[in-house]
Amino acid sequence: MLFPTVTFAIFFLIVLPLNWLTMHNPRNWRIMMLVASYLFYAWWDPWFVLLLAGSTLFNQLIAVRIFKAEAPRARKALLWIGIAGNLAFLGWFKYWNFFAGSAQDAAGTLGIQLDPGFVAVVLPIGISFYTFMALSYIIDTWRGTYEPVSLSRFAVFLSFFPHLVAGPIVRPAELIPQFDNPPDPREVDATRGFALILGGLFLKVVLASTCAKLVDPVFGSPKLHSAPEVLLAIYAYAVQIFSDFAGYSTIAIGVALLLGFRFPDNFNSPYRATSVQDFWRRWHMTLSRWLRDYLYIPLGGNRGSQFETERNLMLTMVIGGLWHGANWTFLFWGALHGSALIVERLARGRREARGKAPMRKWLAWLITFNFVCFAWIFFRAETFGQALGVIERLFTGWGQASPAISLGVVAAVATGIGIQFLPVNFWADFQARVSRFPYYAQGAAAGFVLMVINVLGPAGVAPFIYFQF
Amino acid sequence: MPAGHVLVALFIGLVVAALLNAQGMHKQALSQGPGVGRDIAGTLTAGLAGVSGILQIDEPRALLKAALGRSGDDKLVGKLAITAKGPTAPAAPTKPVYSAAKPMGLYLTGDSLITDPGPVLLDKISTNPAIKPLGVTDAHAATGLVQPEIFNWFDYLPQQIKALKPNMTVATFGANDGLGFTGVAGAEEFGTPAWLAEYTRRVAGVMDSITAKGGQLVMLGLPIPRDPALAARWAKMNAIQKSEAEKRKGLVAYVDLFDKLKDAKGNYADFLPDASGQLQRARSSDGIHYEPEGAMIVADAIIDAINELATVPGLGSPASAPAAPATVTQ
Repeated sequence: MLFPTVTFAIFFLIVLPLNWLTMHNPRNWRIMMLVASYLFYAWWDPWFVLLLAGSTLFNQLIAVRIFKAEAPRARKALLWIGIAGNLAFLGWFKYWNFFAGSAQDAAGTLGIQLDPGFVAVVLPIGISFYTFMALSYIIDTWRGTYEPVSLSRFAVFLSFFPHLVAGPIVRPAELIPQFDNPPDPREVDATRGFALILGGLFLKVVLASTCAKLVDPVFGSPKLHSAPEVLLAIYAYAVQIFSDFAGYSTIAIGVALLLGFRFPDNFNSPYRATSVQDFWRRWHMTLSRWLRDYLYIPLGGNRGSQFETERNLMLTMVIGGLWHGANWTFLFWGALHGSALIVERLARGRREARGKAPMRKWLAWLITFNFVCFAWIFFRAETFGQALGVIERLFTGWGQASPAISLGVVAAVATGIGIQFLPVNFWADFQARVSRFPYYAQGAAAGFVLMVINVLGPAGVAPFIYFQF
Repeated sequence: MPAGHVLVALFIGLVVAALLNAQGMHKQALSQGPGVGRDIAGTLTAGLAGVSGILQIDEPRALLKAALGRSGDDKLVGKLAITAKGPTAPAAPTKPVYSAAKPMGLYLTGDSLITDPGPVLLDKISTNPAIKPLGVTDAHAATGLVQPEIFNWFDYLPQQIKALKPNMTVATFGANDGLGFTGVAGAEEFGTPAWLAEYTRRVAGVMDSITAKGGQLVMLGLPIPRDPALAARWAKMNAIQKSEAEKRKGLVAYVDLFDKLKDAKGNYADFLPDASGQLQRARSSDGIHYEPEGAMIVADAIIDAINELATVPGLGSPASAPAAPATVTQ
């Protein structure tokens, strides 16, 4: 079930009153929400629900056993079983064909024909998101920072439909306690919820879909496009990936808010970042802090030597890249960001040692933004050849006509970048003003905005990009 | 805001949006495949569109669409402008000869199944001065001949042919056509004699509109899909396309992609051997679209078909890939 559909609107119109009617009885609420969430997930493929239920049972079993075990060795062994189980689950569905194909290619270069046994599996939607959430649960239990909850609580935590398919990646301590402390049904932050849902829809339906109209043909056949078209397509992809993913997250946060639950923010104007480190504090924030807390810091973080810190940074970013998809281009994208973080760290150290002032903000922004956009080329391209083809056209495609550049795409790119620079309190002030209107006027205004979004968006809204991750 | 008010506000918002967007929703409802869902949605949205029209609530949408130059988006397709000549098509013309001085204008169009082979083909012929690509691959995903409500190829193709004047068109249709007819003209279940007759008329109409100004057409059949039920449907549509192409021999060449993309046992395969015999993923995870290797196979088949219809210097038949191995794992 996709958020921007009539099906979801009907589903939500049913779930919203049931949510508030059962809220006073947490047990009934959990049953209702579990059924609703599994129905939401089963809409894609009923078999996916079995996988989700299997993951829930496995991780609950591991977490409870870790909690009950007293011997540190037994606890650690159980933790590793849990991690291995989750990674094997993810690896089978997401990475098997990639590693098998890579092994086949490597064998092929040595003249050996290898048939590694490719599998015809469909990647279950959202598997990377809920597997990481499940890992949080067992690792936090092992660390002693979180005690396992009942199976029904954990099942609702993992399957809660607003975050199920594309995040945000919520921690157990952030969401599960909210299940047992129901929010006040008289004080729902609905204005913010509506604004977030409409904002997310605008990002996805209007900006992301409009940008895709240029990005898809340019990346499909760069040789047939001029350098200005390629350049605009690269910036358009930066806007598309942001609008697509931030759009989904924003809708998810808004939907959860109408149900009375708060999710952590996932984006904070990432394209106004003035360093790559700053970018990762603003982009997919729930994944960044997951990688920081469950990978970078356990690897040693910045506590060791300079080499160890740099190694940890690179490993974290490469694994983060691979999390996005089973392709060498994702791995390279992660490595590019890892390298940039290392270079930034070295440059900052050198600058400080020499007592030099930091780089001018506008210059730092310009370099960061263009680096991020350059790295997106490898993220978007299906092969290195395609990525290099796009880069090559940037240098060879000048002096040609650019018929693919339309006013709509230019406006979408300008809007997508421009909204990053709105004052920090812009939306809060706007919501405060809207919240003064009576509820029925707010509803009618939301209906009008929905119409405008529907008209401004091009025909045929593609599925969310991050679903595949 | 109290939860009850949230629900009322949400309901008001959705009702207002439904009334404002009623024309678009009605068109979308009628674009579904035949069945109870389509009937219910069609009836409900017809009522909404009626109320919206009487109260002129649909005006803001219409004004906004007009300002964006997309006034026709919500128009329902009634009678299709199909001018099929059918079996009385002209006899095979003389095989045209192209050169650098008189290059062949090449136009690639169709549904999403042209998206991957199109760029691969354009890449292969990019250095041939006897071929002049007419723009990029003109793909319209999720469209077909069964649902002109979504995209009307019968209006679009004659305009494109008139504007571009291609000597050679490569087209593929049908991936989204394995379903019943819909629209204001009524619904017809897939595969009935009436459906087959109407689909034949539409395929013939497309072929004739592309070749009407003397251009030639390479008609790509549908590739064998992973799903056997879908394969059975596509086989029926391929038979129609092949039969109509044969009636226009010399003008239209049909490319059988069921055969080209089968493994040695004659089954669907995700992985097929490349030119060096190495197994490569040819089909995407949906069991329908192409990975680069699959697109390469299709592009080579298109080159063969172009050579069958015309003489293009430097466009030699691509080296055929080795036979598929006896076992191709899934």
